[in-house]
Amino acid sequence: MLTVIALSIFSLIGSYAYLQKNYFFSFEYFFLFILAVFSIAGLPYCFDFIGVYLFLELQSLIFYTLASFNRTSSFSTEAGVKYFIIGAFSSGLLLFGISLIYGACGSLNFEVLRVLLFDSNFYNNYHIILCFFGLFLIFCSFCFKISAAPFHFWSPEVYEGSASSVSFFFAVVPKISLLGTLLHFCSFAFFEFSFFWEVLFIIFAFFSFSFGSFSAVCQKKTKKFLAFSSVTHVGFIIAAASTHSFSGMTNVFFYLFIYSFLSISFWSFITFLNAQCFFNRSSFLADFFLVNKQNFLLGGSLGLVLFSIAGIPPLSGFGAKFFSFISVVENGSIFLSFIIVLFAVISCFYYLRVVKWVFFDTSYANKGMLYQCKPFFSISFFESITFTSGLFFSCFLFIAPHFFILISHRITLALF
Amino acid sequence: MIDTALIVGQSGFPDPMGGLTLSHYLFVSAAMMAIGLIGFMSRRNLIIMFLCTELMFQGAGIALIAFSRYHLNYDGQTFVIFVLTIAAAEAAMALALVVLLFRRRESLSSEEWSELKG
Repeated sequence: MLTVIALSIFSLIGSYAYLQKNYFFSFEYFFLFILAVFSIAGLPYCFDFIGVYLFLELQSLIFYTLASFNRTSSFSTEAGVKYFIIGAFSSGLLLFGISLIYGACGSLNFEVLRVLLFDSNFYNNYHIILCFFGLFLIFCSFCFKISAAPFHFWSPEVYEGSASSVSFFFAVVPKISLLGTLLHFCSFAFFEFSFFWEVLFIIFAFFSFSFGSFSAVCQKKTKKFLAFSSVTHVGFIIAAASTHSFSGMTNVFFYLFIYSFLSISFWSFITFLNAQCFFNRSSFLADFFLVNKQNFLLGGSLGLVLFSIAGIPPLSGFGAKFFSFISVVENGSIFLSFIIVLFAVISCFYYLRVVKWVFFDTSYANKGMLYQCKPFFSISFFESITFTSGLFFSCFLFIAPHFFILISHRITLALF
Repeated sequence: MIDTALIVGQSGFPDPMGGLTLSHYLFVSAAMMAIGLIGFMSRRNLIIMFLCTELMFQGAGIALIAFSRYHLNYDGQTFVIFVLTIAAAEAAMALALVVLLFRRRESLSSEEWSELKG
């Protein structure tokens, strides 16, 4: 819970200048923001399907509002409508899955479900089929919410359409809580069905790898690129979750921490870019051409963040991917670990391409928007705080990760 | 609470479900769910898509109530009341979004939502 609050404070500070420049952000924005943080932070504490459903709906209703917050922009409205329709559909699936599980077990409480399902005399084939189908539907709905492929198709468009500070919040904060809830009810209530949800996790992980990395290769817009890269990261995370071992769960949360810090630094970069330089259009990856020449410190730190996301060894992104890989290998699923390595290479490619643009690409020298306007001599205090702290964590977490490993250990202990 | 429900369910009171059994209710709920799914996939009008999701909600609600009567406890019925509340909130949200979109776009067809593609 403290983690969620800390992350959202980061994302609020990071988008400070963007909020200041935007006339449409009034006090309602902060009110909705605090309500959203409340719902996200309360979600993993639910021990009942009623609680899970209510918190999830509170969270998603606020998110629809936030996505369509810029009322004058037709992009933002369209993003809100898409998010709303997809979200309503997924919560319908969730509801039907819950009703099937309730039909099989006669209770909505996780404790009761756990006790019932441990007793294998209780259920017959009929119950098992109902539970399978219900679990499958609940998984689909959660994969909509955490944007795992093949249910990821809303996320690039919503990120692109809604205002930068809002999509910053969408990208960083809710994933840790949603995955925590999913793992909580999988490993607590449905531990006996682990042979089934393990397969579901592997299937969704495979889809997320392939869809995420192949679509990110051909992206030109920055926010869409980040959305697809987060789909790939979700793939790595749920591949680690598919091991249903204690160390695997710990690695899931460790990966989530590192992912959050990396995306904090990158997204804060994009929001202040949007605020300073090109306010009324979406940012393209081509805007990053030769940032290095313009401002060496900024270009260098952007390069470090990109290396870290790509997973180059001394940086923390490598640590996260390495731990996820190790937990899959420990579980003995060699095929999945082979696929992880393969797609890690592919995802390396498109980050390194951006690094090349930032540092070396002289052929397009005058096309880079950042190269033309000189925005970076006026980075505000708050933005520099988020960017540097994100950078610090993303670079040095691999050297001294004890604190975050301890936290993820504690979270995993709280799951069972 | 559960004990009285058990007694009422098993004593000689007239069966509130009449001749209907659980499977009838489940059939209706599955049909509503399927109609909602198919309508959501095939229709292009925003309001109709939203109505289809509502149909899915109500289908799940019927299943919950039927199971709740079957298991003789009240969890499912409580849940359905919450679901109805949330469905009302979502309807308000949907109407607001529809008005906004119609002001911008003069059309509610989802085929025209292509500004964010690519």
